[in-house]
Amino acid sequence: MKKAILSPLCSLTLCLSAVLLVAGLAVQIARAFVPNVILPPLDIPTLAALSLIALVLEAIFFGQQHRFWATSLIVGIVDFGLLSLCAGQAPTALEALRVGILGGAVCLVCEVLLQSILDRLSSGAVGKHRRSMAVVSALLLWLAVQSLMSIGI
Amino acid sequence: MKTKELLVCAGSVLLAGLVLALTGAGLAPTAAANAAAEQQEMLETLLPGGGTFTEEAYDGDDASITAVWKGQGGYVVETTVDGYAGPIRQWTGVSDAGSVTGLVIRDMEETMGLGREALTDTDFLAQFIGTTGEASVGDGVDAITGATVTSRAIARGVSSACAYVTGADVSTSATEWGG
Repeated sequence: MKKAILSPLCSLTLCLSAVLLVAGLAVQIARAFVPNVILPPLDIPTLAALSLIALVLEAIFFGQQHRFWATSLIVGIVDFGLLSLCAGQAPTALEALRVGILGGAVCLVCEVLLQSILDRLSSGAVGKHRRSMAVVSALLLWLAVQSLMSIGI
Repeated sequence: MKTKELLVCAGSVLLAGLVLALTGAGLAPTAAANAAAEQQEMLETLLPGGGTFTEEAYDGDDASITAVWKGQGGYVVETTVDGYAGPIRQWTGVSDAGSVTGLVIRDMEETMGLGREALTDTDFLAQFIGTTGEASVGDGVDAITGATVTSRAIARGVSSACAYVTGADVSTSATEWGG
């Protein structure tokens, strides 16, 4: 499959913006039409889930991208901060800044771990199943985040 | 880095933000109307026959009580008590006689599969219906398996609601960790 040619910065920004847009719209629709629904808080597992979905989409549509790590941090801070504010998830600019910094850090950690796993696996027998590899690795990473959170790390 | 790439990045973020902001503004009236209708329906469910509910200001000592609505024959009290993972916000219907008429969890951040079971575990929630006075886990109330802290927090919320209606002073026990 021919991959779209985009810089690593653009591919991550596009994927993360798309994921956060869909998530934000889902939250707004749920709040409007199902007001008694209990939505997940913007905590580390939620931010990790959103980051991992974006990273998996990036791996599927744009191939495995290697970039300067600080790029992920900056993209994460801007995307999470701005879009949480626009979606009404962060009621104030200060809260949006908090969500942005936390989201950027979580996105960076998720990317470092996911890329490391994919780099390691790609040289092995499962290397040809790149998409499945990315999905399964991200799922396992998210379960690991959940486990770490449940024991207070 | 090319200027075009930066514009694509900035444009995608700004476009997503714009869509979210416009959607939020467009849905705001619907959200407010639906929230008000849902609140009224929930109050009537928690205190059957309560008629028209009026919100009362609470200026007592119990920090866990965050809102009070008075209806015919009783009250619905909103309490916010710390659970295992975060605050648990619940509404408790209490008759003028001090008997619990209904209980619902409105918000919580408890662990999926453990404390979050309190949302749907009707056997657990039903234990509080008809009780009077202070509710206590292990003393007439069975905790949810694997979620003792959550169960205790909910019991403290129920106790605070009952105490508000009956005038009993349980503000100390209602705000202490461990129930």
